Amino acid sequence: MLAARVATPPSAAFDGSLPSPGTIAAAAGTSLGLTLAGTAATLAVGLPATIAIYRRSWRGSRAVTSLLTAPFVLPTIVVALAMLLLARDAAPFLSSGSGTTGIVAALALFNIAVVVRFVGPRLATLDPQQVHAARTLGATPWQTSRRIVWPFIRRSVLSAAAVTAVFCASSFSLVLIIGRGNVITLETAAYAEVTTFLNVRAAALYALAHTLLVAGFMVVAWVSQRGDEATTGSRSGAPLTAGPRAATAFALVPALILVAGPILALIGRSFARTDGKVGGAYLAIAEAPQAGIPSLGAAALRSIGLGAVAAVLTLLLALCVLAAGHIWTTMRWVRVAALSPLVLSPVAIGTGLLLSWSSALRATGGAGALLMLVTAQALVGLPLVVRIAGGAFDAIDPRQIAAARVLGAHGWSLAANLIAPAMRGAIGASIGMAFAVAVGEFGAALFLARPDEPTLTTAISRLLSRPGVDSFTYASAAAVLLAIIAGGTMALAERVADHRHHNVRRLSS
Amino acid sequence: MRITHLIAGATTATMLAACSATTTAGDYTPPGTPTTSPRPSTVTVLVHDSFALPDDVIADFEASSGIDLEFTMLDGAGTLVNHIILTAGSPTGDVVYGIDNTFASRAIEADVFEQYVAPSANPEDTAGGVLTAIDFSDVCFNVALDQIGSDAPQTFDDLIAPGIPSLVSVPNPTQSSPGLAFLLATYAVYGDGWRDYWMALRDGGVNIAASWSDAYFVDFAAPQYGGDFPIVLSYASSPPSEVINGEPTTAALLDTCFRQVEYAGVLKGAHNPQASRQVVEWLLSDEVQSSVPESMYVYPISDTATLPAEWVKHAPLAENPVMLPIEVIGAERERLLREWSELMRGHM
Repeated sequence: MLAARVATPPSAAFDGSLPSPGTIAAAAGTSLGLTLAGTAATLAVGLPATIAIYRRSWRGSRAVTSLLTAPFVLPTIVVALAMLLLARDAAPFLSSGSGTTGIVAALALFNIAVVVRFVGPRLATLDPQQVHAARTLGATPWQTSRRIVWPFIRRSVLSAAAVTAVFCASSFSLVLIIGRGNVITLETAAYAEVTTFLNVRAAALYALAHTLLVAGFMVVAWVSQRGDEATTGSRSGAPLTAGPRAATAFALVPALILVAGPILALIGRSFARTDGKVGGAYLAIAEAPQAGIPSLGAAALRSIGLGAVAAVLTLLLALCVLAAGHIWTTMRWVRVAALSPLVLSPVAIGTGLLLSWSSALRATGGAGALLMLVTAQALVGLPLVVRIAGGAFDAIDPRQIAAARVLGAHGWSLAANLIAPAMRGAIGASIGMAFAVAVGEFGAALFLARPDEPTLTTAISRLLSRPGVDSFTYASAAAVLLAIIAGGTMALAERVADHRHHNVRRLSS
Repeated sequence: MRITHLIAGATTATMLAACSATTTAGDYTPPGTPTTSPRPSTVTVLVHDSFALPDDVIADFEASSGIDLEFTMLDGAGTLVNHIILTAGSPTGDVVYGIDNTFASRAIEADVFEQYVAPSANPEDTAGGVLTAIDFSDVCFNVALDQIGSDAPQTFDDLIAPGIPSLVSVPNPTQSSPGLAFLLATYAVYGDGWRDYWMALRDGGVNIAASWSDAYFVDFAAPQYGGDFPIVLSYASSPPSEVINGEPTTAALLDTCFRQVEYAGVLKGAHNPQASRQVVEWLLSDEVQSSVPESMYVYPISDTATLPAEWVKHAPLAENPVMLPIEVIGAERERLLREWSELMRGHM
């Protein structure tokens, strides 16, 4: 399948030897095992944290949400390095099992954001009075969770699990770095075959097996989208319960430790002395750190600008997908199709999938490259945004829409007066997420950004290829900036959306 | 300094692929169509991700030659070679710069270059009549001076002396270009005995890192990195970056070096072959040559270029680096890498 896309194959690249079925099966087993372990770890750490954040009302919950979702945007090269530092200095158990423990921890670290963002908004709409009533009638907390909370969030949890699994299955650079070449998955095998040996046949075979694996998870994602969702949600904005503090803290601790470890390691590194000053990397933010690498400030502004355009584009695309699925019921498949950017693996780069694209790029020149960079970054965020906005879209009671239709609302007025207000919170979350993903995007930025105008992510990779403690300090500072920009934007987008939501509620009541 | 860090963001290619799907239908141009270039005076140079040159050096050339330069970065030296082979006949650039001697044979065999070497180049510094050497570097072990001082190992033999391998960290040769250089060096020095050499390293507890960055920033026991391994594989050009208050903190073991040479060439199917040749010739100019040390941490190939003072003082070159002819590397590279993987499996 991959080989078929390459236009004029030079024969040498295509007559390499093929791996034995046993070798492929072993790699597939490792891929599957890591994916399942990563997904389980993500849910185990992420769900209690999500519940603590969205079912209890406490000061600082917004800041904790930002902290938990910030790692999602960090380039994998940075997270992997931070994990290695952590394993070396503070948590040696992370290197156990040839680094598989560290890989699973890193997978969970990345994907907590998916659980928080998928399950959280759904959980926030659960009517507390229902829970309260059940407790009054004598139900234990366990019974309440099982009979009321779980059916209500089941679909969003499955959805988060499926997307997490797809991400876990495709995290090959984490596997490569933390596994130090000793953990062989379908992806790392495909990548080695193509970059090291230019054996496209073998790589295509591994890539095909990988695609089948991910497609399996996609089927789960699709199935989890169907079926009954308990629709007894409340949009009344009733105050959340103030639960026991100890329970809240207990639920948050694992996630906070997991996220804080690597982030603190990075922050610590970023404050190392440069030019004799502690925090020199931040003080010199407007200056070029080294020959050929422009200032971090300029790189950050470039990342923000590109990310903002990409976020708007992602949102527009996502709304088109949702509207198409809504207006024409036969088009519901487009929502699953929108997840397809997740299926194709990063190894596609090596196997030449981008070749036809790069010829087109050449014909369009510099402005075309910029346009493609933004489009590429928008596409990366699309699956997530479709999922998040789609959840809110589906939560709108069809009877409400029917009633509005009877009352004469159509098309735009329906969208403006009913759908848009109901989706404000999700749109805020989506746009923040889309921005964050675009800002953290690395591969397309490397290929498309001009070498003399790097984004934060490409600046990081270049700094990390140079010796000297300053290189490492600046790279760490750039990673911290990236996390702050992304986490801050997500928090801001939600706050703005929430604020409007409250206003609307006040006007309508 | 270039490292083949085989790292592309996890989600990246997904959308690269998605994009390719959307653009192939409308924008595909058959190979060899001469009208695809928007500006005839533009030359696109394909480079690896460690490429850098000062803005003014590039601007000076553009002003004096009337040629606009565009640069396209690819993720690492190995990817660069694969890219030009897989796009043979319909290249995505005109000139390629950054192909090194460890992978050059693959590109030369695939016949992707125009017959051209810069006229001013020393014939010894060309390859296959198609590649012109631009810069070079020595891949050598570096030591942390406060951990291992005067009794540091000096030679390849010393590195497998009892107790030494467990102090050493090496990037994986199948994933890293300096790692591959070291594997080739052991083959050049020991012939088929390279397997015994690596078994001694393996059984002595050598550490295998994923990439140069990991070995250097995480494993290296130099005081500024705080790792556990006082001997790591890096470059002869690394120590000047580790001078603290005028004092070197690391040193390169100059009897453990493998010479890596980086080449430039004009691709077959270049839109503007004449201007492309001019660009290769420009890469040998004193202006470019004198700026490569600080821009890319490599040594200029030209004798007339000026080296930075720090380099003269702290980055001496190896007197007798290990070298292997490109054809030998081409014939042996894949076998060595496959056998190495088998040998080290489960021991990393």
